[in-house]
Amino acid sequence: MDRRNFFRSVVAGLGTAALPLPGWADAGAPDFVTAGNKPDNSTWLVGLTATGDVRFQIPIPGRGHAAALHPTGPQAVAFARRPGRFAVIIDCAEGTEVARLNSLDGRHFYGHGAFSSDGSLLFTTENDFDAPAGVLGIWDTTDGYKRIGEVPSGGIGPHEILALPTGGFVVANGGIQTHPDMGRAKLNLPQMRTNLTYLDAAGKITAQAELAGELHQNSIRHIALDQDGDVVAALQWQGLPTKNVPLVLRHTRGEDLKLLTHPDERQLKHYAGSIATCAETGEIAVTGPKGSHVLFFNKDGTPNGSSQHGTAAGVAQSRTGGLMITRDGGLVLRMNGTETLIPVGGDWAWDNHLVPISV
Amino acid sequence: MRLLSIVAACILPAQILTAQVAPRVDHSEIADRVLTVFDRQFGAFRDESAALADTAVTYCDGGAREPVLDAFDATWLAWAPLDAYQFGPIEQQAAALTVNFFPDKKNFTGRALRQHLKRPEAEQGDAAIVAGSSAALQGLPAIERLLFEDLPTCPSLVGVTGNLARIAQDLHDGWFASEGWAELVRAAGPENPVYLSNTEFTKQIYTALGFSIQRLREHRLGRPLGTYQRAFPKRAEAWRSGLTNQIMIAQLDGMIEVINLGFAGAVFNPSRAWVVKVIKDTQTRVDAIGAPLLDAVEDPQMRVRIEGIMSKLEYLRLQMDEDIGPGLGVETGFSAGDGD
Repeated sequence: MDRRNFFRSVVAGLGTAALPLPGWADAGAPDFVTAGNKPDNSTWLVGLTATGDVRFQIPIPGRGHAAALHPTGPQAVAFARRPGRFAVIIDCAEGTEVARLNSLDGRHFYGHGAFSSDGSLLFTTENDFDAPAGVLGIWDTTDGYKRIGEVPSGGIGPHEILALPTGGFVVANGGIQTHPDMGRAKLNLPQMRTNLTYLDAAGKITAQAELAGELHQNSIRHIALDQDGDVVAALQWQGLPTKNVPLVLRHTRGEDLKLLTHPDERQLKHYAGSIATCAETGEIAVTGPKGSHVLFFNKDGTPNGSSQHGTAAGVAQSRTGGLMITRDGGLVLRMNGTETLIPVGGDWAWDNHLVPISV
Repeated sequence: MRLLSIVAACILPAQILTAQVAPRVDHSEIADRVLTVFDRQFGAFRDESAALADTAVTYCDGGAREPVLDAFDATWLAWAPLDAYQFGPIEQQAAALTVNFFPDKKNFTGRALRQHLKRPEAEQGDAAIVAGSSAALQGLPAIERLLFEDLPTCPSLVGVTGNLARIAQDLHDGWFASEGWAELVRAAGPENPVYLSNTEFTKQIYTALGFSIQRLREHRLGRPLGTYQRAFPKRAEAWRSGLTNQIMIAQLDGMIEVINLGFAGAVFNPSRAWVVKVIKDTQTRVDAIGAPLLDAVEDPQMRVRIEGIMSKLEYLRLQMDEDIGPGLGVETGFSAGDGD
């Protein structure tokens, strides 16, 4: 098998979350997709199995952040890291680049996106940086990913967006104003406002929940859904660094945001990275790549210990059960409170999220 | 053969020599020295801003205009080295935009001033009202327009300069008052909420110098230069006051100060001296443009000089990456810990 055919066959598994393709098993498809960087600072989209095998590595034009998987067709979108100007659409059956989305003038991507439930539209979180305002770009997947419009995201700095099983979307508006002219500097910390915004399938805002008061600087950035369909979120504290604050919250539609405290939250250095919930137990895991720690919560939101893992970045449900975490040197599988280190060769630095192919 | 070895050794790149005989890098000592530089630089901005506010009061009471202009120049030139330090108190207090809203692609400054000038006079002169207004109203570009455009200067000048003096005081306090950012820097370590090691502060400073070069090249020179077919003279920073070229020289002075007095002996001297020479050469070239940038971008010969400075800045960036970063042990690599 030559390199190209090998690549085609292994990538064939990428979009099979809801549509198993013929040859999926033969291809030895990956269980996860993540962005990764090599020591020479080259940047890649990487397919990993739950046993730590790298099934494919596709060069991408800059640092990646997260990926979105098409709900029915075998396509994945790899997003550039903020302030990213590109997203690469990969045909997973062919192993080819289908399209490259370039942000419009005056916009950049934040690194996340989500497909509508029927897969016909892709929504991308974007910065209208001269306004400044947060927007969701809308792309028609049935017409070569043509840009067909945009809607307000409901706040500054929209970061992660998820499709809801009931239809529509939820967006984490982190609240932090940035501008590509200013590098990655945060420009509005004293006045920042962060919220969760719910939208219907057409992108119309239906509800919002703001983290106001003395925690208004606790940026809501990354989100996941729990077994009950509630939103859990990983936060990044932008206020006084000497202050200790909760870095996780849960939200039930129609209720107030509920902060989840943890005795080891200080270990995250004010920066909660990725968040995921275990399909079997409802356990919540929150990574801290700055603090090299992972916090765990029981399904009811009570603390359930923490672990030290170097540059713990991504976390996702594993198809084979439990939660998989990316860290220096490979992966960690957390199942029923037991952790197993799964080395991955290649000296990768993962960047930032782990996206499950099929759960 | 021996001669060949000697010749080969003589033409070794500086960074290889650095690797062979590099001094031990004590990042804690670098932090102390850089903080001393910052104390002076933020202190100068605080003092000049306070003087500007004082002269504004006198001027609006019927005093002379010249002292205000002198104080304005001194304040902006004191800010120039700080412009690239977009972390710590500047970030915490959102001062990057409030002090210098640049570039201002959508004329936010003009719009904010128009709104402010519609307020009752007592409010125009009230620093607290200015503090609660748009970031674009609060900084040096707004003051420049009050002084150099056909606008009613007083009493808004008193309000805006008074607020700027407060910002400058807050920035210095944010660094150096009790429980300020300098204490966080000095207490670097595993339990520190920001700096897990002293190296992280060194890396932050090194990154800021890189941003300083980028800001010069792209914003201060590149934007007004535009293309040969179309220059954009009024995109030049501070074109109304004619301070454009001096700001660039002051910004480069600030870099020299950090490298010579902050990094100091932590960087192998031939490398340090070489990079400082490149910066000074760049300053000489800015001096030699022959006109304020506002005019120079429309003169074909001067455009060539500006392009030469931009090339020199790119060369400076490469020299920093080759000599200073590796010498300090802070080459940039990618990690999820960079945050997002």
